[in-house]
Amino acid sequence: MSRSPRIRTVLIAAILAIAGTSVAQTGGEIFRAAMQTNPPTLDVMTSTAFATRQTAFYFFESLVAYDEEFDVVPMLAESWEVNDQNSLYTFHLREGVNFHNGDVMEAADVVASFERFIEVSPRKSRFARVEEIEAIDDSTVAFHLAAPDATFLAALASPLSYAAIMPAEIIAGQEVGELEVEEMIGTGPYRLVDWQPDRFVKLVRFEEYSVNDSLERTGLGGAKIANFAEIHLVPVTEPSARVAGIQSGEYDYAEALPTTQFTQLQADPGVETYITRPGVWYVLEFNHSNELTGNLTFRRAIQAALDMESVARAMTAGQEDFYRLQPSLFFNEQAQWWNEAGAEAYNQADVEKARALLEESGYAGEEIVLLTNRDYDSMYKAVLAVANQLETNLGMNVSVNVLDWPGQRAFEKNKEGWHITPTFYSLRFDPSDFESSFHSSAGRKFYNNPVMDAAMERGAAGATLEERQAAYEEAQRIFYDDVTALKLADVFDLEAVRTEYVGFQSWYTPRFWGVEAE
Amino acid sequence: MTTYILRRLVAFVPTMFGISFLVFLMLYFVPGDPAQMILGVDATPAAVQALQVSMGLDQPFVPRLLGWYGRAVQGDFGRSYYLNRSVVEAIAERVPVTLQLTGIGLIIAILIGVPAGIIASVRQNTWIDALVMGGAMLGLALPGFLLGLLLIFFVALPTGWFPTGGYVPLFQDPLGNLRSLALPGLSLGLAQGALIARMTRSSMLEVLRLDYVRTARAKGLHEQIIINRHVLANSLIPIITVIGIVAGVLLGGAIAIETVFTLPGVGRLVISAVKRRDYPLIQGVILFITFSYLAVNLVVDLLYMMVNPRVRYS
Repeated sequence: MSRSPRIRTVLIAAILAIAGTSVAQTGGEIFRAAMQTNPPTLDVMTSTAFATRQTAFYFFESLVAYDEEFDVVPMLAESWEVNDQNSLYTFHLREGVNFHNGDVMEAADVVASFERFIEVSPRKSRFARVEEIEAIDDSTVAFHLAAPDATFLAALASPLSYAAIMPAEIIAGQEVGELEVEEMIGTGPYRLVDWQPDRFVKLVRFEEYSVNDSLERTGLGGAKIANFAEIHLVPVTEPSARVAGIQSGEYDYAEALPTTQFTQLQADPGVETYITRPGVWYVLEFNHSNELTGNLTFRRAIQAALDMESVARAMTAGQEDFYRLQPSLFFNEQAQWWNEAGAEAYNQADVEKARALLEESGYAGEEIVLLTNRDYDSMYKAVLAVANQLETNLGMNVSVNVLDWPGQRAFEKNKEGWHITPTFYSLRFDPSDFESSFHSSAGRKFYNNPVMDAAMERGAAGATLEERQAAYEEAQRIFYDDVTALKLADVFDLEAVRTEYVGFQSWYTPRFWGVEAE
Repeated sequence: MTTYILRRLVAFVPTMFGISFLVFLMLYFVPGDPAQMILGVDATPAAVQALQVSMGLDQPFVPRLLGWYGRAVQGDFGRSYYLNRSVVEAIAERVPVTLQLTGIGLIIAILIGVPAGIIASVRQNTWIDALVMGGAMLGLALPGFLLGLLLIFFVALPTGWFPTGGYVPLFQDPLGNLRSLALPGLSLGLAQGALIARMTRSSMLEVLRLDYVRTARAKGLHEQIIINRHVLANSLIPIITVIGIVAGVLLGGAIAIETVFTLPGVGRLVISAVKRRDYPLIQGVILFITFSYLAVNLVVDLLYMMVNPRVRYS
């Protein structure tokens, strides 16, 4: 009787000692984040991959950036002027901004960076109107456009693959994939010091960082205060390993956690959970070159049939906090673009109407091939749910072809062999980013509709916000009338931060500046 | 003997040539486009096509194949599209992890499997036999990743003694290294030990029935000596074979375990290469795995000769 409390004390002491050593290992000045994928490259100019930009935000900055409300705010530029024709944009640079190599940023660096950008970026066609970039003096840069472009600032701020400002001497003559780790020199609050692909990205605080104190921290702009000496971004591809890692304190942050673990993580006092809004929206794209899916009545039949509530539940394991059924191409958070045009065609779940349309379309039991993949579990579940609805409610002859993600992407380029394929649209900061999805010049899934093209072009050229809003509202109406593709649902991710830290703000992408140990 | 080894080594070459041809053929016909994967979902078709051309992916099959063979025989296996380093460097980085994991897994598997098999065979048809073989069945039936996850949730999380994932290099922190590999090694060892236990038991049972064992017992030899010197020694060939197979499998990368524990080994390397259609890297890793298998086979054949003097190669 008298011995057992002593044994218990010794045991508790031992456990505490062990726990103590493991905390000392992971806490303190190094912030460790468990990320879901490894970036294909860190040269953000050359890739639109999400993992690339997520990493690059720490060391590369651009002239302008998006804030939390999705408005354009100054970043390396202090201010700018636009002429009345929207064809001359003049930027005044912030003075005394340091590069990681000790140089001070000047107009010549901006010119060189932008020249590289329009050479190597997958988004370079968006900047085809740029005729000349002129360094007026050391701190002033002018962009001369061949034609008016009201969306130039929005395009410049878009983080998809952005014009990071790098020192002119480093990037001269470089091409795709040629930047080495030590050449990734930017102006950001952290320096890139090591990248072991599939293992970690190591970022070290840039002590001479020029804080933009004209604005509070907001979105990708404003004051970025680096509170950690180091940030390690570790790709942990297995979702349950990220759960275990954040719960054990191995990692201080984890993204894209399985939503099925939401309740378990909420109950853990060591972990604060966040629902990432806005996330992405899932969509089924049609093969417009095919006889069946090229037929509008047939597409309308499918549009009328689907019950998005049950599709969304399948995608999120029935977790209501992680999906949102709303018709817009834009997220509710994008207040200036969100609208309800065409809403009556979304989530109809009207089987009678669908059957009538299907008969009208002349469908005679041909096999409908749905592609999908298991790399993105949500796509896999969504397609199974849709196939089930088409089969049971409309009696369609459906087959599901499961590939891996790269295989599916390549297969979609064939004109034959498939009808419907899933994907997701990440947040379009500016509606003109939809050109790569809907404009015939992109040739996406062989879609070609002159009326859609005209609406997209009006939106890109519109001089005022009202004109542009009207054009994209029209584009959204066409999206539903012409059944360009089928919006399924907005889907959100689950992310978590250890409670030892304060100041984390959940948004489009995790940002660890402004976060600090309690 | 040396000539024999040399001859076997030379025979590796056509095998590896054949395997790499098959892999090349499969990769050519499997849909997928590395350029698209590098540039991301939102890239324009024109940008993707331009990158394809600059990567030489627009070339037809034969020139690509010949080009690869031409460089490979000079020891140049190309550069990984994604890892920003040569294929040889990428593999060399991962090999220590896989070697260590294989070593630990194999030792645990043998330490568990061989004694368990011996006990089960000696106590055949008793409750001990049923218990051991039931355990072995369970070990074989449990998928490796599940065992790994169970260990994470029921050992690593509540105790905090082991990390839930990640790899610490041996020379950076030997103790941390051991801690980072303990649970993955145990998951591998338990599953593979089950296989070894079953093979040991059945091989032992076969020998136990032989006349010379009865003779040994009849002349009053101690049971311990009979089991160790007469039975086990003569049952070793199938046991070594299965240990060889296990070693080959582990050297090829324990994909599920490496993923669950976030270990940067060869298995995860090949999976991520396939997922991104990193053609040069897939070729390189498969060649490496082929070589490991062949090498393990050779070692096993040489071991046969040591445990059974009747086996002679010339």
